[in-house]
Amino acid sequence: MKTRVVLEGSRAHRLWQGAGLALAVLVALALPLLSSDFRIGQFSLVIAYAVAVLGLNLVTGFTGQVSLGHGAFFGLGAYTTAILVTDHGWAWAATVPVAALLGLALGFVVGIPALRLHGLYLAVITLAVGVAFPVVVSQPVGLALGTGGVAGKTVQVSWDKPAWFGLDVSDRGWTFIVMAAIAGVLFWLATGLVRSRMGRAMVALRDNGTAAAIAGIWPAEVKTVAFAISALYGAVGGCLYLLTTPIVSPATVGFTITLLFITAMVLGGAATVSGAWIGGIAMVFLPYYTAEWAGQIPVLRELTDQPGLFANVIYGLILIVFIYFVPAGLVPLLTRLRTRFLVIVPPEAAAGPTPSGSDTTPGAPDGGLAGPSPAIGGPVTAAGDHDLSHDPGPPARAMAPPRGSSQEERT
Amino acid sequence: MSPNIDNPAYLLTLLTGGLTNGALYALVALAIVLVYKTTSHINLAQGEMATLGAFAVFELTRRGVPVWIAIGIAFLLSFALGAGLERGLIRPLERRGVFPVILATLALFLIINAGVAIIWGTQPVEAPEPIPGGIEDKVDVLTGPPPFFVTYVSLGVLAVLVALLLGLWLLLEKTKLGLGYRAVAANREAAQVMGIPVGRMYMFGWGIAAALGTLAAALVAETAGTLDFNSMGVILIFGLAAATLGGFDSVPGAAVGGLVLGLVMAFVPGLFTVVEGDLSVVIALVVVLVVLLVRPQGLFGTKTLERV
Repeated sequence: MKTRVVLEGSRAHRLWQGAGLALAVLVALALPLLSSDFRIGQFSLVIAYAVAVLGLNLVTGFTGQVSLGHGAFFGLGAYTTAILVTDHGWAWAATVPVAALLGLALGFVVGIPALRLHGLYLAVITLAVGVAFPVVVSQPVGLALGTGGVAGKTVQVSWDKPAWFGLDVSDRGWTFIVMAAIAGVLFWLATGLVRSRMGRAMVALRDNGTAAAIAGIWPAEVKTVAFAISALYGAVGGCLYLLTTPIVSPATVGFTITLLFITAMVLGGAATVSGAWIGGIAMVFLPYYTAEWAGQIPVLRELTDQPGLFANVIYGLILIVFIYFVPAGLVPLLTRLRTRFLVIVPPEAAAGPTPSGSDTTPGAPDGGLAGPSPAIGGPVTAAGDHDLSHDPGPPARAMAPPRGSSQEERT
Repeated sequence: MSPNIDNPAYLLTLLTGGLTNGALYALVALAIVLVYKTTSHINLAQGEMATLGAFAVFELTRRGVPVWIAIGIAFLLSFALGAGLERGLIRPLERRGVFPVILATLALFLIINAGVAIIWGTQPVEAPEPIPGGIEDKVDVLTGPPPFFVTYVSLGVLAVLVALLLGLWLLLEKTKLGLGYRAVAANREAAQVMGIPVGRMYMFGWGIAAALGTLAAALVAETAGTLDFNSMGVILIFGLAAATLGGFDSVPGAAVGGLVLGLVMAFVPGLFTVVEGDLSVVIALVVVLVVLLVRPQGLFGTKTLERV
């Protein structure tokens, strides 16, 4: 196929992005129409996990801060929603801002040690937070808050499809569409964030902290904000989780889920926004199909009564394979595949430096950032993939003015 | 404050309990430190590798092997496993920085944790008893009431810690191997220039750490009375906290850090009933936070200076 070259920000580029966005919306609407409620539940879970993984991408992939306690943020969001809904009769939607704020606060607090510590020490601290959270939840102090202890907290959130919604979807399908919309906004915001001044500061700090500080970036601000935003996404992911699963227990938010988040992050691409979708898909479907396959193979079936464990082994193997062979994750791979027939170049690369659009994408050194539309031509594994990959369109435009002004400030 | 504050038996019980747990944390901390000293990495799968070793002991004793011979075999096996993992899995990632190595140890964590659960099941098994008499037999010190006694396990665990520290000291200070290990720990490049096989010292560190971990897990299991695939999950956190407290690159620091942490975790909830429940993980977290923020190198660690 002939390679097309498209200027970033040109009309053709916008058309591609628009088409992708339209496709994403179409898929988000078609999925609940075509799938059974069980499948819709799985896709909803993908959304919840993808949002949480995105938070991890922001702090670890973009800012380079090791975070081994993401399960705690996820759990904080889930428990906040569960307690407020079940014990205090709040509406789900009303609990989300509370959970998000609590996540923001906890992330900020966890980010404070990051100011003095880096690498291993930060790993130890965040690890301790991640392990301590489920313990605290199951202790009397947690019980007093209404966490339900070891058994977990049940919560019933069920929505009826409103009458004005024309499509013939089930109530679960309606929930899915709402979740997809929320996730769309969150991913759109994240794309904007990584392209904003803050995003560039995050990447600069990751690539060379000293150089970044010399260039006028205040590491304390960037690190704590990155942790706070990461935790916010984790917490909102936890809120979304409760729309798919009616219970949250210490076992769900333990260290294992942190490990799965990390694997998911590496799988999709740590320094990408859209990689979180691949991660979310893997987190839901990998254990499901592994358990199914393991159940069919007699040798494996006799080994254990918990076929889910095989999924953890596979996660571990995936993690090792990816660290060794695909350290940047799948999304950069897909982006490279796309460039075979669609290349998007920034204006200055085509026409030399221009005074107005002098910005480059703050991606990983190897072009690891999702870039504007990583999966337009890539193999479409699942719908969620699209949902995000085309979101970058609007933010690019929306963020343009602040970007320009920040450039001026600097010069 | 606890109402038992002026009761000597109560205080002594707290003391021995704290020291016993502390010795176990110290063993895990020692394993972490031995890896860290040469490679500057923290093996987050240390606890899971230890669990695997403890299950090897369990399997061998179940097949009729005497417990200490089983521990010896598991000791050698885990040494080989640790050294092999360092060479095969970790070393190739070495030059890519800290994060890929952390990820690799996390991958190990997942694989070993699930692997143990698949092979030996998720239900707790009866722990092997390296120290005869275990938690039932005890030495009565104060007849009370309330009585104060020391279980054989407490004595045994402390004896093992002392013996191990002595052995490590002999190994590191009095042998050529130990000299090489210390040289690599002190200055990698210089050691390499002097002809010390740096890579082999990394493997040695990982191997001895894995072997120590196995012993620690066997003792943890006996103290707890049961062994399951998640036995070492929280203990790893305590070991990390102890290593942080003592200093990540100090062998005596790990021992002292473990014992101090054990005592803190026994006395704080024992004397001050501020909150109910078992919040030992939170105490460990607070200890880690305070140490890292006030004195990041720990009690006995060397302060690393960074050239910018």
